[in-house]
Amino acid sequence: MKRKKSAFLRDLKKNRVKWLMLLPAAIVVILMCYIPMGGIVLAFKEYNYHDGIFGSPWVGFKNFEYFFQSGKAWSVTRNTILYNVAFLCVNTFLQITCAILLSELAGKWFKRITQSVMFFPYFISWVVVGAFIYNMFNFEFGAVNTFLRSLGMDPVDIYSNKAVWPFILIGVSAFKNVGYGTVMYLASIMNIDGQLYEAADLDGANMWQKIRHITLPGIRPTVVILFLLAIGTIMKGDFQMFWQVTGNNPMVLDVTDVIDTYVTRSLLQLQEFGMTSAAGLYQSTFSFLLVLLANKLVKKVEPDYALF
Amino acid sequence: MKKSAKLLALVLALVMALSLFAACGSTSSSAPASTPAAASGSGTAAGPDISEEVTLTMYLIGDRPVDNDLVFEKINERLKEEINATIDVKFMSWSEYEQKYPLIFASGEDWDMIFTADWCFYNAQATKQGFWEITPEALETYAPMTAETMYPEAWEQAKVDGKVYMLPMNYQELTAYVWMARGDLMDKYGIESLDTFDGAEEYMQAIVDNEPSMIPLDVGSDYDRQFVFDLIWNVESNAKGEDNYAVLTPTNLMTCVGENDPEANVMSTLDTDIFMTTLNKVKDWRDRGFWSRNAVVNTQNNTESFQAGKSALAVMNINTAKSLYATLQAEHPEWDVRVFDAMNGAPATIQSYLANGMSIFSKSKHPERALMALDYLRNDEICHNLFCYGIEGVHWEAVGETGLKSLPDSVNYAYDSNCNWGVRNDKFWRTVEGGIPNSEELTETWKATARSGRYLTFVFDDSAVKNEVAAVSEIYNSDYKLLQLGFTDDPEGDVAKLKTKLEAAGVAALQDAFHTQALTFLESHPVE
Repeated sequence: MKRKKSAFLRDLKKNRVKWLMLLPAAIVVILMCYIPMGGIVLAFKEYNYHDGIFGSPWVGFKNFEYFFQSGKAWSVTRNTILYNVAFLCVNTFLQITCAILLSELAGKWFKRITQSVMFFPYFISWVVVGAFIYNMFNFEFGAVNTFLRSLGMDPVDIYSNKAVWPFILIGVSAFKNVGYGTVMYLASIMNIDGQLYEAADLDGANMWQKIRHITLPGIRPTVVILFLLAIGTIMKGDFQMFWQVTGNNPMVLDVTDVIDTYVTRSLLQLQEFGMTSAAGLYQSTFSFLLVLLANKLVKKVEPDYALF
Repeated sequence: MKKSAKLLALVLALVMALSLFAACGSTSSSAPASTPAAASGSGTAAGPDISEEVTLTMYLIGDRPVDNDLVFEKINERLKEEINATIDVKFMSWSEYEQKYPLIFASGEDWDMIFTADWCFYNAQATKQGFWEITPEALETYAPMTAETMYPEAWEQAKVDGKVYMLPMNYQELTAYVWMARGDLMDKYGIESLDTFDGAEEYMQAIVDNEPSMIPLDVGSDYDRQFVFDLIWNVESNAKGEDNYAVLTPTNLMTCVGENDPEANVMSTLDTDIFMTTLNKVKDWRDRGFWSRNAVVNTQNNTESFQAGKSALAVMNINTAKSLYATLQAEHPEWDVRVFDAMNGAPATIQSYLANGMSIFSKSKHPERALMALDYLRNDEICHNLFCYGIEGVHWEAVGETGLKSLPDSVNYAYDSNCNWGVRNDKFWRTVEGGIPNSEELTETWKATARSGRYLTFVFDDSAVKNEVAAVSEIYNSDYKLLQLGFTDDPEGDVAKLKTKLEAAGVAALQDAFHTQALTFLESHPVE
């Protein structure tokens, strides 16, 4: 025990700059993720303002009942997972494609500008994206319908059409996130040893072969790590996106309601903090299990790439 | 992993961090109350200690009127002199109050007083100990004027589990809904009157046919999504005479009972014989494009749309209409705004006193002083008139004993519209002269039919059926909201689906609870 401790101290001394660099991130995680975990107790309490989080009376598992009784537990869980799987596949595919295209492109300026333009949507707030969507699709004065009418076609009623929303959501998710991921993959492509390509050239490999046999294997670690990180969030809907883009529209809730929007909506409407914390805890527990599972899988297949 | 920090976790972090501060606050706040009247400062020996100067934060609902600060400067002058306190007003707008209201209780923010009402979270927050209890002793000590003038019925109505957490308005109010229409458009399309649904229908159809850039009636926001449905429902219910229905509060549980049914057989509104008729009517109006196909995602309420010239008709209660009328006369005289009775013969309701009131936050650091301030806002003519009408000579001038005339500057502080309703006092009440021209006539009609609903003061105790309440409210806010706005292509089918969902959500247990409580209520409130 004592030896272990001194080893740690020695390490602390030896790598003090690295430890220092870790410090801000560690503080943020402790403040934002670990300390609030105390709030989990809310899920087992009947909260009132006066007694506060820790003083309110315990009610056991009663708060969890509503989540299942409302008949929503299954549908929101399904939506959350399916959407995230779709986002993960579509976005990763587009990101890798774009990154490879950009890396193969000549013309430094063109490359730079394309990259920046693609990155830009990442900084647009979801509220603004929601407003875009509304102005494009609203029935009476939206851009799409105004255009259709000018062509003499029938207007479409997007806001009450359940079938199109998954596509809209996948579309806006790609719009916002592809640029960001592209830059990450591009960076990892840039890290691939240039000599490999030169050697391939000498062997007479064409572009496709180079991509298949050098680029793709070269970025595999990045893909695996990003995939693992994404698995951890697969139970977590991008709240801002679902809330703002759909405008919390009850017409299409069946296909757009994810755990996060459901929790927020019921919190706002019922003000039952305990019940909504219970739903949140359910979500976190599943996320946690999924991360463990995914990591275990990766460890089996590619031990080097596992997170822990 | 870091990415999985949830929004909820963040909120909780905030709540926790802030509640720590709040906890510190509350311990220190008990100090001034317990120091037995430092005897100096205030002139009255027996009065409460007011030696420490405090700033009280008051939350109101709505947008900050342009001249709010001018008015409150005057109010504060008076309050400073009398009780050594000043008020700092904060606003939450109509479009977001449903979300923001509960959150400020949990946020740990330091504030003292808030507007509340039976329709504005009074019960919900009172049962979660969000409000400071106003005991008769506290009332005597800190709000003697209120203690003297409070209507005893109002005090009784305000009780939740035998305790009072609100000072209800000292004002008897008739509520009725009106249409507000554009006179210029009515003349253009030869519409005479909107006093009947047929007239309103004809007018809206004319707009649909001829004014492509306008939406006839831009309802759908949290504020007004159920207005049209309720109007039609009330007419249908009234047509049943003695067999009419009373919808029980909270209305989001969709429960009603025959008003004169001695057995108090509660049922879901969906099971009533008038539900389908009402639904078909709203569906017809929606299908004809009287409101937007996107109404369910509306965030702007219909009065705002009307004011902005985007819609041709608005529905609101008469009190909102009074102040909006004055504003629009000044801003758009060319619109020739006209007001019509939208009740179609259904009786106006005599509002419960709880329709407006003021409460004190349970974690306020100066609840006693807040009570004193409310006492002055309600019962001190100077404060009351400033808050309700604005500055005399700038925003209004007196006409006789009970009337007033709005001056041009009233666009910056409109009559009775700064969420001052909780302090309204019959003793100082003045009505606008030269407001809505047919105002008198309307009031006469309503007075003739008005009645106070039998279950008006019925308060549902949901503690035993919380899970059912949660599940059923969720259905109300998604599926039922759609029906209220007529969004259905297959009324019969959708209603049947909704009923199945309600059953699964445990509506039977909920109705049992309602039934037992309604019977008890009838026993203690026999028909006169």
